[in-house]
Amino acid sequence: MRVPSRLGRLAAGLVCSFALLVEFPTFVPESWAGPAPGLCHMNTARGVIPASFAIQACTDTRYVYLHNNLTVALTVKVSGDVGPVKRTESDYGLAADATRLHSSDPWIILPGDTLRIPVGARGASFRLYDSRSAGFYALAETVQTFVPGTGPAVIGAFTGLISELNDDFSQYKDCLIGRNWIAQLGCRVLFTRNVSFAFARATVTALATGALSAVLAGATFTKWLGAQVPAVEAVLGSGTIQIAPTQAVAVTPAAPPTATAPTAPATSGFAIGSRFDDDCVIAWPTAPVYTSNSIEMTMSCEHVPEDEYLFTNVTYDNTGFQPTPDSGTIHVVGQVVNVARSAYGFSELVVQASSVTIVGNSG
Amino acid sequence: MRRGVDMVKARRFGRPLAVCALFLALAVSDLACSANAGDRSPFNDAVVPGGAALTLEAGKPAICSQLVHSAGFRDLDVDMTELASASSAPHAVERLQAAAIELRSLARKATAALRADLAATASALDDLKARGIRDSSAVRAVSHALMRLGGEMQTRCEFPVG
Repeated sequence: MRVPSRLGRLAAGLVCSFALLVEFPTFVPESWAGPAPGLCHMNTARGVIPASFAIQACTDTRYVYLHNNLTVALTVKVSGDVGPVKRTESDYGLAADATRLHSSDPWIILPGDTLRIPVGARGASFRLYDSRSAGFYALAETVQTFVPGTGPAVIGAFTGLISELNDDFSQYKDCLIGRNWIAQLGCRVLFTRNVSFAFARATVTALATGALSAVLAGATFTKWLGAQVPAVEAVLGSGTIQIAPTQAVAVTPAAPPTATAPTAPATSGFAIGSRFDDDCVIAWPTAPVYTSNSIEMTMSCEHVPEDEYLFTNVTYDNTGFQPTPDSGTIHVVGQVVNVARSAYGFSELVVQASSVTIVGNSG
Repeated sequence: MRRGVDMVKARRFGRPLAVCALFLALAVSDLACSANAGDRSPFNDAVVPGGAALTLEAGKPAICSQLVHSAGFRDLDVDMTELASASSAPHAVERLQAAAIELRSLARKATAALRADLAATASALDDLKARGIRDSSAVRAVSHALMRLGGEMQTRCEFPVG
């Protein structure tokens, strides 16, 4: 006896192939992943974004921008000379809140998150991995639709419930390994009991009916499992962003010779009247503004703390100096003359430059 | 002349026909997919989410095929989910009872070594039916019995494993 028939196996193969495509859409990175000039003013003088990079990324020589345009949580492994990361979130739902609360990974990138990572002079590399919270997030997404209300208490209780369910799913996955369908039914019985207990213990009030069934549904396990698969399929193999040390930029043929002093070490104060000496780039998406006798540039400077001064406004009384947004790193020497405060609440450092030199052109 | 017209026709309609054939093939494969996805075929589909496929090679003992064809036993997962999700699940209870009956029927035909495991599984299902899915000891007993039965059957049936 041969069960099933060859035709049956063929049909099953078709079903399986179809199911893989339907059930694991996160296998395949979005077609618009990789280099994403829309995230910043792309300047590849220090390194390029691999075309195969699994999520959208951009570099302007001073920063690397990563935008998770997939549907799974990821993490980025960073090595080298990087500054404090600035995160922009776009998902304010319960699932995202709970995942952030649950995860202790500072480099987690939830779907919709954008990280802006300052890269120092010594360079850095960036590589994507699947997040340990990917399954948690996938589960939270499913259950959040059944939770009414929000607020710290709800988020806390919801996080506790998802954490327990996530453990149950992991245990069930491990239980399946090396067992046949009969023994796997035994795994499933334990899993069903555990999930049922998790809901009974949950302090999330007024969970809508259907939540337990939704968690036990096969599709939810498939989604949970699929959230971790990109580690193998799409993420691990998507390449590394390598940002070279700035010395590499200094020797690019287009860089004009410079006689200015080397960049000063990080200064702690930017008092009005103090000397200013730093490497800056024209902040994207601004462009230099020319008056009859000077040029004004809105810049981001290496040693100016952005949480204190969002931008550095540099005025240089030399209309012959005509950088473009593509000029890359510009060495600015001058004096802090003022601090401007925007109606939006942020501050800008105002610098009157005495010397401005382009040190890194676009590649 | 006639041949020339035929060739023109062939050129004109050849490509659309090829496209039609492709669509037809896709439609047929789609129907095949729907049929497989829609019915609860006892074969190929995993019995539990993420689990091993349910297939059976030729030449295995009859008990292997009999257990595979036991619908009540195969659908235990559905019953468990229903028991956990609903405050009252009379249909699931009925099906659990039917599964236990099927297992006892198989036990009567099985070898002595398997008979005890099949009967123990049936007994554990009866207990679970009476005490409910939230009774830890009943759940553990069913799980233990299924894993033991799975191990025993594996030596005879060589089912795919996860």
